[in-house]
Amino acid sequence: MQSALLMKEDLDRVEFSRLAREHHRLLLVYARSLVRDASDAQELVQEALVAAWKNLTRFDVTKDFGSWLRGIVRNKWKDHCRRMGRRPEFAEEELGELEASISAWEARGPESGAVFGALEHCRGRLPEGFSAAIDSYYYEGLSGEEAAEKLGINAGTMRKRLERARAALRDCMDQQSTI
Amino acid sequence: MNKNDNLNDRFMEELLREDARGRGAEEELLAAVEAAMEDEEESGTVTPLRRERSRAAYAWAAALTVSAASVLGYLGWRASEGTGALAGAPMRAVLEPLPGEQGVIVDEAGRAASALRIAPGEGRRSKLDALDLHVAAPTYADVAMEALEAEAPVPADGLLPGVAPMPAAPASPEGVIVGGASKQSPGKVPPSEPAAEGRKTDKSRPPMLGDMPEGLVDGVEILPEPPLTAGIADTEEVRYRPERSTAGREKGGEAPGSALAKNIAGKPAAGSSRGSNQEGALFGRRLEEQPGGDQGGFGEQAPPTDRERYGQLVDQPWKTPQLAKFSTFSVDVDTASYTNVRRMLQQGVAISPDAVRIEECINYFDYQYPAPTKGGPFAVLVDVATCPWAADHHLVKIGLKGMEVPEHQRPTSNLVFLIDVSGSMNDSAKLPLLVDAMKVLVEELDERDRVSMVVYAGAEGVVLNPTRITEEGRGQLLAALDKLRSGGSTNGGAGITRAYQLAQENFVEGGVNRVILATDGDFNVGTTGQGDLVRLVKERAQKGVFLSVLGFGSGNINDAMLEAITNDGNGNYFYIDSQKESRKVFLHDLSGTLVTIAKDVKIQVDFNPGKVAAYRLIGYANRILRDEDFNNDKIDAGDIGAGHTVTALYEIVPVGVALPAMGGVDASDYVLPDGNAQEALSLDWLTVKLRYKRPDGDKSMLLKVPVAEAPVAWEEAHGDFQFAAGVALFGMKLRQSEYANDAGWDLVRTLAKRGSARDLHGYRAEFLTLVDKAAGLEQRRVDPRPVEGIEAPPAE
Repeated sequence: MQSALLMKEDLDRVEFSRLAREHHRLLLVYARSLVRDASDAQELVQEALVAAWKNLTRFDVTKDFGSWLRGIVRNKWKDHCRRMGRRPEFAEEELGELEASISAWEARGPESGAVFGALEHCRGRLPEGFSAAIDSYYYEGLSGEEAAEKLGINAGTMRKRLERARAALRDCMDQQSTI
Repeated sequence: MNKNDNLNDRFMEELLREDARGRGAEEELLAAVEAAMEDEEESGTVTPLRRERSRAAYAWAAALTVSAASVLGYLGWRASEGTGALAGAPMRAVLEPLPGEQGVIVDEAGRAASALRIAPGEGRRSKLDALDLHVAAPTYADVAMEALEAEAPVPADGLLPGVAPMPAAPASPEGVIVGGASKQSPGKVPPSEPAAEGRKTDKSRPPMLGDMPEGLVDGVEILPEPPLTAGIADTEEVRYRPERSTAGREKGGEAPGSALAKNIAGKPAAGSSRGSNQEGALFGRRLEEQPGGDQGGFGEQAPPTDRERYGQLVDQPWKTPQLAKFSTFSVDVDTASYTNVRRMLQQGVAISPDAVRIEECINYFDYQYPAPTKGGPFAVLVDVATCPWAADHHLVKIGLKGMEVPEHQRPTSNLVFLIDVSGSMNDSAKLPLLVDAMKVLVEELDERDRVSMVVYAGAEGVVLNPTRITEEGRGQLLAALDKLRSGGSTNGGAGITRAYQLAQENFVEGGVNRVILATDGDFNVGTTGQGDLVRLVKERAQKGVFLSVLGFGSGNINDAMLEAITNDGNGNYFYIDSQKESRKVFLHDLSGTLVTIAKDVKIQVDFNPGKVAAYRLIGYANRILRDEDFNNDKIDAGDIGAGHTVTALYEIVPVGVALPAMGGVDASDYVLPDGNAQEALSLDWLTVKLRYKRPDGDKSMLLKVPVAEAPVAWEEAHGDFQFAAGVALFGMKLRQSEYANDAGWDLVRTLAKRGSARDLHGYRAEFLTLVDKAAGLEQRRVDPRPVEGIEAPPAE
């Protein structure tokens, strides 16, 4: 695993910057799934990266760096919820489950791009109907209605199909990661 | 679309969205993180940057910092609660006893870039500019690093050959960067406040306000029109060219000509940072941004490692009336420098000599000058005594006192608060203090007054429409203040434009129309560019909307920028370091702060070569005007506020006393041996000439006050004289001035003590404590240097 190769003294600024660059997109994805709002997510990630930099000495080099960063994002997110006067939307159990998935996906590749790689791989294996739904909605930027119209299905079906496509992708990626 | 609460599903959805977005990195985010790391390094809490870091890394950091600036603020808004206290970092740089020295380098590289902060809408072009910088950035960093490694303060001269130290540095083709100042910029004018009318005293000062007999006004001439002395001026121009060159350097590299071309805090015109001039551009910028900032400064073992930026000041040298008959400068009623110096001394950090503007230190204090009586806006009072630090010399004190405007007569005001809520303001020494200061002001306002409030960060916005300060209005205003939160990057330019617009829309004829800008100065002037900003401020001042700048915070205060805006654009500049200071500015001195009673106040002293062998203006280093600017009403100068006092000191060498070393100018062969008949006949030391305009006027008025009084021993002089002399010497010593003649802190203490008999608000007593701190700080300079890379602990 990438981060395990890092010795503490190697974690100077340049190296940290490189790691931040490597991990930030997945962290953004992670943060957005926690808070939805893109700019909030952006802030969470920034805060988390800065906090990570400030607390580098606390990083256990035997652990996974991405996982550590996500932990910080989680803490920042909890702070965020507290400030907003809301209870965290997700339970620890759920968070733990997701974290386990992501770490597993990440562990497959030499870098955090592994997750995107796995996604790409699994998209290619989706059944036609799912794949078309995913492509038109996410990749072609069509709205739900537009995508539904294009595929000649109604919006409700479209929603359902997307949901199942995502589940399929997840399953696929999970399997990939266990190989 | 999918409202799926399942976290796993949400993640997959976001992953798909992100994947669809493409593989591009979020550069802004990374840059913001990078910038935060940089700040963090400065504070020394993290492994310092390694020296062997590659050039590419510097360039990269510089590049990122550029785009970082626009995002930086994102982090700011919650910094106070989380650990991601980006904005707090610079502050810690001052407070932390162990800042990493190397952090300075990074900071420099970063700052070079951050001077190009990108305003929304200008992104693309600025980014290109920033790219141009990359090449040069490492070069600069390397130079700085070598200097650090040599354990020597980075010599500004060494880095900037031909800029600071040379008499007339050639202007670069762009005229902006490299020593662009072969000539005094007419735009270099002070900030302001109100005031003036003249009066003359022929002997030592009348002690108190009330004692001033009417007769003193005799001898004052009031000439409404500037006398046309064009012929003379032309002659003088040739004659005094050397002096102008000196003056031109004062702010380190100003473009000749208009203030527009001037780079206040180093945002050069885009073109000038390109091509073969890259290196020069960086160096030039550095000079402007932070000349001396990383030099040893006062108290060398504790170099100021923060990002504070000071314009370079060059003290006026000795001059002889034979060669330079006139000395011309613009008044300065600002006090920011003193407050800032006080803060640094109290924190025990080293003081950059360029942070010390002696006149602002002197003018921080109230002096009991007689008030004007005959309807003019101010009174002039001149004292002559022996010079405490040079027995054979005399000290001439010129005091102006602005007309008082009692609080109940204060005109209706139309105030626009323009508040910086960018990420960098998120610091206990900034936003909370700002809100407190504003509240102090609000308490003093009443239903005569109307206030609006504009904030700026990433975008500017009006948070309070013009509101009359009735009970209800006050409540709204206070509520709006309480809601202020910092966050977002800064687009000060857009905010200031909006603020002026509001001020103009609500203009009160005959009232106080003022924009109050509260900031740490770390702001991006946006697409308008700094020159345009200064022009805007200046234009609006002509139309009657004045500017007050409140500087906050430490660590990254851009003193040079704020000073320059108020210098060039008419306005006054206060540095607020504490609640106490807020109270001074807005409570004890509210009328003075708000009500301008005279603008473009210039002083020209005409020395009699028959009596004065040499003279030296103390302070006003960045307020010098060309002699011919005095009669030119197009050249603006400082304002004087109601009740303000302005003090200027000249050290003079009477004829017959040995001249100080003046740089070895030969006497001209063509000077008539017996000089001018009038000079020979007159017993005057000098004549103080003063020009000012009414706040709404275009034409200047002239006052002339001849000074012939015999000097008294300084010990016999008025307490105010002694105190002002003490502050002057304090400033000279902090500036490590050669003119201090090795006078010790004891003398400063003596002068200040003797002058502190009357001390209404305790400011003078506080000054005495600063003298002790400064003396202590100097003492430590001789102590062995602490472990390399570790700053000395704070003084206390």
